[in-house]
Amino acid sequence: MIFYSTINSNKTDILIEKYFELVKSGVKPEEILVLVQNGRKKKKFVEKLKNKAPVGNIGNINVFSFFALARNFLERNFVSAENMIKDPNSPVFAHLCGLEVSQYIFKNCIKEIEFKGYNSKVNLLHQLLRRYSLIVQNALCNDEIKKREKILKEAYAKEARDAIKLYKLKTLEYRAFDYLRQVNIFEYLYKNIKNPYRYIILDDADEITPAVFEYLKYIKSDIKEFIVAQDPLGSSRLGYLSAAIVDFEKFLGQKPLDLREDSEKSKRAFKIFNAVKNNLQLSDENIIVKSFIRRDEMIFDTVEEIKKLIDNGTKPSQIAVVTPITDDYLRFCFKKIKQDVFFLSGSEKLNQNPLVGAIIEILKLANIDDMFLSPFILKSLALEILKLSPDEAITLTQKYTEANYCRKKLIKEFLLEFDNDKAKDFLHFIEAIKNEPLSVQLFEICTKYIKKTPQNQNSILKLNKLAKQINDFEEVFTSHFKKLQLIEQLENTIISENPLSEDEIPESSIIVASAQKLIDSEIDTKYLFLLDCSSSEHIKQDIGMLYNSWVFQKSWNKSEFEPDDNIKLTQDRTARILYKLALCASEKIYINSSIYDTLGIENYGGIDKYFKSAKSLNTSAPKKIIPRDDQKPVLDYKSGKMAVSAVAGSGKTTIMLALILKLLEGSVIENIKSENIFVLTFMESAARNFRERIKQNYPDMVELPQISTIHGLALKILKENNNYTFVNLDNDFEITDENKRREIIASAVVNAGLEYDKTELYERAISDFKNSSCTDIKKVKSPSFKRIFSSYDAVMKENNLLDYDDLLIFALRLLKTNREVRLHYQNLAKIIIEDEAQDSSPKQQELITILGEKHGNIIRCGDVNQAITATFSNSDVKGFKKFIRENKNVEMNKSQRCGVKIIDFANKTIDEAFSFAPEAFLNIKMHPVEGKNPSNSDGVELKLFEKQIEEKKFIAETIRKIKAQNREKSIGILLRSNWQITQWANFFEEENIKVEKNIDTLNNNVVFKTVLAIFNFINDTKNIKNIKNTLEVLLEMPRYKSEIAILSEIEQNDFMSDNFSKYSLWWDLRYFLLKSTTNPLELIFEIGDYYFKNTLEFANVSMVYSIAQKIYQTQKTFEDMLFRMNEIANRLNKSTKFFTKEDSTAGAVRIMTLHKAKGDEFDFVFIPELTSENMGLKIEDIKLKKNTEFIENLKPEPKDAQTLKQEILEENYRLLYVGITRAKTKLYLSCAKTYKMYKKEKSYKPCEIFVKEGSYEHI
Amino acid sequence: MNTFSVNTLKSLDGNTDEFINKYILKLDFLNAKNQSTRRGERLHGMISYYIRGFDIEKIKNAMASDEKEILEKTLSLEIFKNRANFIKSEEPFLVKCSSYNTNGTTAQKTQQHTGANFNFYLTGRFDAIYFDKGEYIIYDWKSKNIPKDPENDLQSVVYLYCGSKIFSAKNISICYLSLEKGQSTKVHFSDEKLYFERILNIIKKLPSKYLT
Repeated sequence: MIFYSTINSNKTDILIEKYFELVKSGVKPEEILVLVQNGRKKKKFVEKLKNKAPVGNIGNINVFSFFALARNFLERNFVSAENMIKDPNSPVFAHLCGLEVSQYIFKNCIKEIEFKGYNSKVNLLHQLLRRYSLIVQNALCNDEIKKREKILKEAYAKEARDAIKLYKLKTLEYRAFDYLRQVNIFEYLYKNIKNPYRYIILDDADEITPAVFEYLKYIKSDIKEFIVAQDPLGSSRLGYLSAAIVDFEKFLGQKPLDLREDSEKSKRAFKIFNAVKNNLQLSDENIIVKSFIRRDEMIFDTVEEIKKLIDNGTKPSQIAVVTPITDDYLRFCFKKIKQDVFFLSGSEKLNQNPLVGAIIEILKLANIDDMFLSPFILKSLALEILKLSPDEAITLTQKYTEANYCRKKLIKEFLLEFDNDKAKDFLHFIEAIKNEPLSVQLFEICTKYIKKTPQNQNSILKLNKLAKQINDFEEVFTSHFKKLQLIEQLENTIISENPLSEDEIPESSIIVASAQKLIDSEIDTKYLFLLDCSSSEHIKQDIGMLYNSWVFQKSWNKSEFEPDDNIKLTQDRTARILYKLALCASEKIYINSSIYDTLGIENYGGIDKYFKSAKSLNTSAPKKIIPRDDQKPVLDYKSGKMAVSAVAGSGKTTIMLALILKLLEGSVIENIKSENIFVLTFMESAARNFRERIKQNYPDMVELPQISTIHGLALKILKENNNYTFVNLDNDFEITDENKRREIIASAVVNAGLEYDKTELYERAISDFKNSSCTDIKKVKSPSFKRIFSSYDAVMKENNLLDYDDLLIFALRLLKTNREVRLHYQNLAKIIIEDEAQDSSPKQQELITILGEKHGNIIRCGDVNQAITATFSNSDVKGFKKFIRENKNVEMNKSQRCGVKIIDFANKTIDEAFSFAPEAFLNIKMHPVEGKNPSNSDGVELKLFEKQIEEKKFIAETIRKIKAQNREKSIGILLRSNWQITQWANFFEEENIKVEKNIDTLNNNVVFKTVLAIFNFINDTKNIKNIKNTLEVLLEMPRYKSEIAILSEIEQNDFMSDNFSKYSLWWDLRYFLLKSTTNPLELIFEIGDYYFKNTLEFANVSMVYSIAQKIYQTQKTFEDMLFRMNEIANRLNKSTKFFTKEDSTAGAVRIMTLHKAKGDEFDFVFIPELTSENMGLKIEDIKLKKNTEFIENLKPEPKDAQTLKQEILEENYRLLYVGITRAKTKLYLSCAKTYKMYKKEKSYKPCEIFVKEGSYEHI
Repeated sequence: MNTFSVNTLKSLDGNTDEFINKYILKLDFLNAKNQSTRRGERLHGMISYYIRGFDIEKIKNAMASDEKEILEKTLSLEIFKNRANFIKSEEPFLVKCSSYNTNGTTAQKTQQHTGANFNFYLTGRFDAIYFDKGEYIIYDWKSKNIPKDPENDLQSVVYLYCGSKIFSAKNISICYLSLEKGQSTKVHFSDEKLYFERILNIIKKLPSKYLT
């Protein structure tokens, strides 16, 4: 019998009825095999069966999940397999162990096999395990595997085969069988043992694996009747999880009965299936579609909606949340619901649980004699385990911090000397257990220190998971493993199965799960929230270098694998997953998405595109822009290539936005969709600005145009549809941020025997080399570069890392070498708009050219006269100049930003440059817009001072005057270098002038600064200077405004004494200090939530978390992590894209570099320190740095010194021009004749603009 | 909770709070099996393999000599000469019971306890079932010691009660056999009502909110 059913049909009841019908007819229970998908379903089935059974003997019931069937066979019949093994040593039972043991074995096997050209330490194991899983679950024989190797043209097929063979041998040797190996041996057993079953009841037949189906095929002739429940639209586990779509009608030669229910829920699920399958957009009044800009907004909105539902009487168990990204951020935010929330999925490390973390530390202490303990951990142990009072714990920790300065004091020695009974007892205890096996040690520690209370239930479950793993190891390897190695491995064990068993899903909680988990657990709810719908994580693409989930399916019968196959198959699976999810919710489904992920990176490729809001949220038409005459040709664009040369303040961003909106209306290019519009910006901030402004105009727009930086686009091209596989990249490749990159290069530099401070030079050199036309390292002459580059390259490859240059290089390689991918993107890119085209690098221009080849619609906007990045980046203004020459050029030369005198001065700069640097500018002059520009009488002032301090005092005084007249006026102080910013900021602080530093350092972000300040306090609660620094940072917050007196008191009293209890700041710091956890990262969310609740800054908390997390991964202790955080706090950092307010505070005084000021405008602008050294405007003033020549000489055709000097000179002019054109009403250019450098007064020559007598005021 | 084994019943009988902590709230630490438990499991496994007709020579020869000796001594016992009389080995069982039992004697008490009739299940695993001359003998291999008071041991109560239901027979007994010492003792089925009441009285110790 076959019947079609869904999870909502009463299929289990039907199957159970059938079961009892059989039993009543005289069939023995042991002759009936019931197969269900998983353990939870088994439990449900058995409970129902028990319930329905009459009082008396129920019999030996055989209900198994697909995997447990194999395990049961092995448990009962192992001897049969054992007799086949040649090894004379022979245990009575096999070790049916967890994956951790097999990973350990596999790891050792890999060491013996060299994967030529691919030995990523990070992923090889993972990839091989996945390959092995696919082979086993699909019951592939050797010939089938070889066929697939050929289809995929696998480079590492032989190595993979050898590795798996060795692994199988080793597991046999140890008789250590995880669930996959069990399935593997199951095949041998069922073919060699008498089949005990006569009847098969098969539930969830749509999720059956080929391995199980092979078994059913094998015993088919023995079976009197099959009773099969199947959902023809099910099979959500297609692909990596290896569900097989089996034609049972054909297999059994029977017609199925359709018992699917005809409910509204089913109809909606069916509509969703169709929409996804056919790439349509579905609108349904019970599907609420919401799209947000930031992820935190999306999460908080969900939290509020859930709260509302609960307030209106919905039970928590009637609400479920599905997201592929169950990160700490989400967990933290969901705590705010104040209801039981159960996370059904989301991997986590065992030691993330504070108690488990603490116990692992004790295990280490018991097994290492000469151990230094992180004081942070010691504090946690003191509070959590030894139960010392807060004051005792603080004293203990502080004393150890002092004693252990520079790792001088072993923890055991310290505790022995420390006068505390509990500490001494602890020492005796760990000494007493140290010779016991690990499992015994763990049990003893738990029994002594962990209370069996319901509050500790979760921790106890995890501790038992740890114990289970230790037991597994001890059983398999007896004592042939190192205790410490095992502790380390277990510490980092990731529980992918969460909860640890299906029994633990509570019945009264809101469930947060991955889609698959919710489906597998058949969670029945009313309201289903799908979060992160714009993220590609929703559509899992399980394809890696050594495994391909589609081709490794048993049913794969094509001779080739094309990218389209992946797209279609993945789409089919997505349809099935969403269909099954929809069956889990009877009332409403919420489709929530955000433009950005937690780290501020744009989401793409999600499932939101299949849904459309039933009612439009905001239908107001976009604001129309009336263009000026010089702007009009841009909006009149029809097709082809066009350059837009836009002078500063000409409204370029506004007009480009207007053009994008016009394109979106569809009136310019036919059948254009948002995905066909590619917009490339130079900075991520500009891309964000465009996206957010489009979103403001079209709030309902789900898929925005493709707006990104060139690196963002490259990453997308590589990741979309798993394209990276075509350039031999592994799917888990990671992008190094600049901190990590610097770390790797620094280590290569030091290892090469060079000074650490050469790091910066090599950072630049490596990037330049990668971007040059010849990247053959053998041809480079410099031996030191060769060595450092090779070492860097090896580390990157081994860790599967890419730097930003690689992104572009790989994307280009992909487009050039793979015709199909190239055509895909060329078809997609109906129009490409590039912003800041003057800063475009040759590689970026190449990419644009390739993408635009088919449609030929390319618009490049920029201002050649503002090209200011060529001397320190790979940008090349010549390309844009050529584009202007060869194509239609629209000159947007009117600007209403600057006063007329400032415009004149800027234009004069262009004229004057012709004498010294004729190539610096294109002769595009700024023109005012009639009646629109600010009117002023004295637009530009040049001031020459004798001494530095006079210049500074003058600027401070002038700012005061400006502010006295009008507080709202904005002021910009623009400097040549970053280091000057700190110097000037300090000066203004002394002068009591509040300034905002606009600098890309982590410490310039208030969240980072606050977290760091509190961490520094936690690290040392005695050092007055340290405490003072922390207090100063926190006192900047309005909440502590009235507590400034705390600063003066710390000199007199011990800060940890009660004298400070009148200050809320003291209590807050004490709270964070005593927050007992072994994981410092947890504190970051606590701090973030406390200080930045519901603000834009809260969105930055997760970025700070991510920075700290990356450091913590390598540094391992709180103290070392903190050291690194302090080290990088004031360095320039461009990879963290903090969210910032679009406009700075009105009337702020902002201080930044000239480079950073590009795109900004101020009522008043000061450009001080214009010495000829800072701003050389004559060739003889330009001095080449050694580094510049070194880097140039790495290139195949290095430029000579004169050319380099000339290029710097040209860029200086443009930099000055950029500075000048930031000013709206008044511009002050100044210089002093002497400046203090390294505490010495030194004379400097003012730059060329001060040379003409009379052009400046000499003070 | 609705399903009980001999071990869980013993735990409930001994200390209700500990039982709740361990089996319901899952507040218990996992302890590694000791050598003696492992040895017991191995011997159980080998006897079962033997009864079910597998070739155990290879494994037996790889066993530690003392274990091998015990196994050989056991398998040379009279009962193993008639291997065919073993009708089951390592056989799990599941028996459904109603607090309102068939002759109704406990109905009143039960209602006082829970206010309603309720079902519960008894589960376990018979090491072996031997059938000879109309008698079912449930064999239970003990590594070392056999129960001191086998007649009243809860295992006898539960196994004989369940055995009588499973085989619909009164001619049934449980035989404990110490593998190391070679001693054995046998308890014959006596009073179903007393068995049931003893089991039910233990289950009644569990607060009704935990009975599902």
